[in-house]
Amino acid sequence: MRTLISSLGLCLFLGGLVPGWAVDASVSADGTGRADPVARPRVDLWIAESPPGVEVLAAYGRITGSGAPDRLISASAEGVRAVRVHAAGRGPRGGALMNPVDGLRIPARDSVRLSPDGLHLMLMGPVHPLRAGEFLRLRLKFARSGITVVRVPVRRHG
Amino acid sequence: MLAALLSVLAVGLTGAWWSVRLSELPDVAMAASDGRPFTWERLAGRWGLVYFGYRGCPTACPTALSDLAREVRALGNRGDRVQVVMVTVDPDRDATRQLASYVAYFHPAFLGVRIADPDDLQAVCKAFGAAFAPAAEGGGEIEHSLDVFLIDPRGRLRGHLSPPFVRGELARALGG
Repeated sequence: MRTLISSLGLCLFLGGLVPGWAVDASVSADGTGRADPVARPRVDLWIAESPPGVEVLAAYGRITGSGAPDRLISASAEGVRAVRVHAAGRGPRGGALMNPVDGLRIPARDSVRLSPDGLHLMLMGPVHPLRAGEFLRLRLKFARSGITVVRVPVRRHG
Repeated sequence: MLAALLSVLAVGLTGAWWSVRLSELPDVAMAASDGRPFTWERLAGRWGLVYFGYRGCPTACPTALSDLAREVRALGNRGDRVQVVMVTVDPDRDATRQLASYVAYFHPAFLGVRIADPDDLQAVCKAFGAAFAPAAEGGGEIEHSLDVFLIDPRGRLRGHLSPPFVRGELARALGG
């Protein structure tokens, strides 16, 4: 029995360490707690470590549809003032400028790539600097499949 | 050898700005993150890689500086002949002390440069052909160029590189 409990604990521990894995059961968007019958998109993200004094971070990676089209409608994280979807673009003078985007369409059987030069998640105002090796619990709300919470690893750029 | 190869790289990328020299760049007051004044002559005898960015830039600048650091490290000892300079386009919020820790995070030899006077900063950006527009009143983002401008060891502005760099691109271009 002791071995079984230890093994179970180890599994839970390892599960919590796997980057980008959803660690909380998804709940329906209406907040009832019932499991949603729609498969959740697969979330595989990482957060770039904060250089000194930087108060806005970004999350990159992929979100992949699990058979049905979906839409990321909002995101949040404990210890972060706001999480927004942005798209890298060009300003009137031809320089780089980011624009807020209203949600993120997730194709049924394809990935949305999040990158510095394209779409990405902006994490504004972290309470403390995030260092490589840490994890942030990111709460993603999808229009169709409800809420998913993932543990997202922090890594250095490059 | 390094100069020759970099020369090929720069010319191959742009083939422009042959006539611009360090001595013709705006002679404005600049402060470097090493606590000394900055003048363009400090780049003489080395390849200067000049980037216009700011600490509050959440995606483009950390990515570009990380890529540059990786590329300079890939040069090994030859990296000593390259000086990367980030000129802040947000001098109100980027003090030289803050710039020092910021650029050092990416590479200990990187230099941050602050041009305090907004007109001087505009003049320098214009001389390089670097797009720049300050943030609107009340904050917000700053529109800025993503190019890395190349100044050869003889002080001539030879062209620019545009991130993202492919891994090993610079080292390969230098024959490494």
